[in-house]
Amino acid sequence: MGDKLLGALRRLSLIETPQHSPLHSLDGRAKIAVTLLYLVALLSLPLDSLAGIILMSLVPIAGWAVGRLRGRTILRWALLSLPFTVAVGAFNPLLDREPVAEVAGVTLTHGWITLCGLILRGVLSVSVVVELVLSTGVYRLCVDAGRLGVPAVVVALVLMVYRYMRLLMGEVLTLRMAVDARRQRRGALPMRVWARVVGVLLIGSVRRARWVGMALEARAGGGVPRFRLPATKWRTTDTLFVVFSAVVITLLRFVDCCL
Amino acid sequence: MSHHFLNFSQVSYSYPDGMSAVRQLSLHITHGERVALLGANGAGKTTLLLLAAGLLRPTSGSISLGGVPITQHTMHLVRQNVGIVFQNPDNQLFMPTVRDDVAFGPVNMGLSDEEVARRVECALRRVASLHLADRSPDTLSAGQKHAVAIATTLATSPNILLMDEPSAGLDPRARRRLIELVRCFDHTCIIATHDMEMARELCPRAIVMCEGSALCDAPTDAVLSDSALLDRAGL
Repeated sequence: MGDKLLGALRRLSLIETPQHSPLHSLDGRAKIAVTLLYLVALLSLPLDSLAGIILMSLVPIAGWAVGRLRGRTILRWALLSLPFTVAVGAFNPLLDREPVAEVAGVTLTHGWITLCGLILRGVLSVSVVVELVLSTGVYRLCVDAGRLGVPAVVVALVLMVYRYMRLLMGEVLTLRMAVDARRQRRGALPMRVWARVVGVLLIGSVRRARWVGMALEARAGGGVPRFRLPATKWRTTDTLFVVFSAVVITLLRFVDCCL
Repeated sequence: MSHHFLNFSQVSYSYPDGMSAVRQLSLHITHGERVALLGANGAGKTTLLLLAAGLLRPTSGSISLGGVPITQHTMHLVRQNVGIVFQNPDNQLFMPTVRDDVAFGPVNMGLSDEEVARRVECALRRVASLHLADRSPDTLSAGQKHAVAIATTLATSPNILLMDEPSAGLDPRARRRLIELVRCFDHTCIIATHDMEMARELCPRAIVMCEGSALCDAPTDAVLSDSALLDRAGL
């Protein structure tokens, strides 16, 4: 668990470190706009339009390739949406038994098609959002959202929650190592030990969060902290990216209507 | 505010759990003074620094900066004039990269992009960490984090610098660099430390704290040669 947490923390740090790929070099606002456009196009597709939804998967695949992103990370996060979408559409096959096709002697009902559509839409939606975060970084994403008009208080709040989450992970890591260093036997910790560890962890993370809050306050000049990263300038490539993506997404959506 | 002196008048502070950390403390630190805060763990050194930075409010008594009482309404003056370096640099660094972290203070002072960039470079150069600018603070060593934490404060050009155990965990070269850095800082500097040698080298004046009170306020050499006093203070 220690190794996994350490890996997760390092990966979080890597997200925030400037990378060099065509997708990373784009302005965050352009990527936010295209992601929103894609989500609108994808979610406006009817659930039974499987061909259209599958076609829409070309966009996250292109993003993964252009951004040289870790496919496993995207997939892992995307699969996290599965329990939710399955829970939402679990009764579709039972409630909607209208046959729509027959494949190798098996009758496919409309309920099964819509369930598959729901799952695919969930996976694709999460994928593009993960790609947006991986190629922009949480800090820059929040700052660019602020530049798009999201109130400064909301931006500061999201950033503080993100920072608290990282603190919590760091505390878990330290605590886990301290426990492992003094354990004689391998295997899972007894529940009563876990309960105490979690208590200590929460107290520790609140204490750390308080210190970070004071560090912010000390350098924030007395007002709401402004998280301004070195300003990225909107370039022609950003305009081209938005226009090109908008055309492609609209075409994919249009092609679906023809299918 | 032409002179950045700090004045503590009968200041007490108790934490919400009732623990009394500072008791009836009165101090006057004049502009340009370098003062060492000495004392055993739990003597109230860190609380005193947090009070001076306006991050904690006294339970009773008052603190003034350059003659202006520190209140909610004058907090912007404190922020402009007082910089604090925490003991644990992990608590101080919260931005994605070193450059962004050092830029945070100047950005919040409303400076132009050019001025922010200049200050960031200057502060990082002073702590010999310019090469770390694009690294994430999470990936730095303890000594590097300490140096960057100091740079985050230097970038705001404070008139009063408060440092909590700045030499803890530093290797000899980094410690030497820190001493040179503080020596070049020509404004008021208050250093809470257990590093007696550093205190002797940097601070002509020392305040020995014990259980939240100032046990002694005298020249550092005199303090450090009084073994009975040091023993009483748990040093």
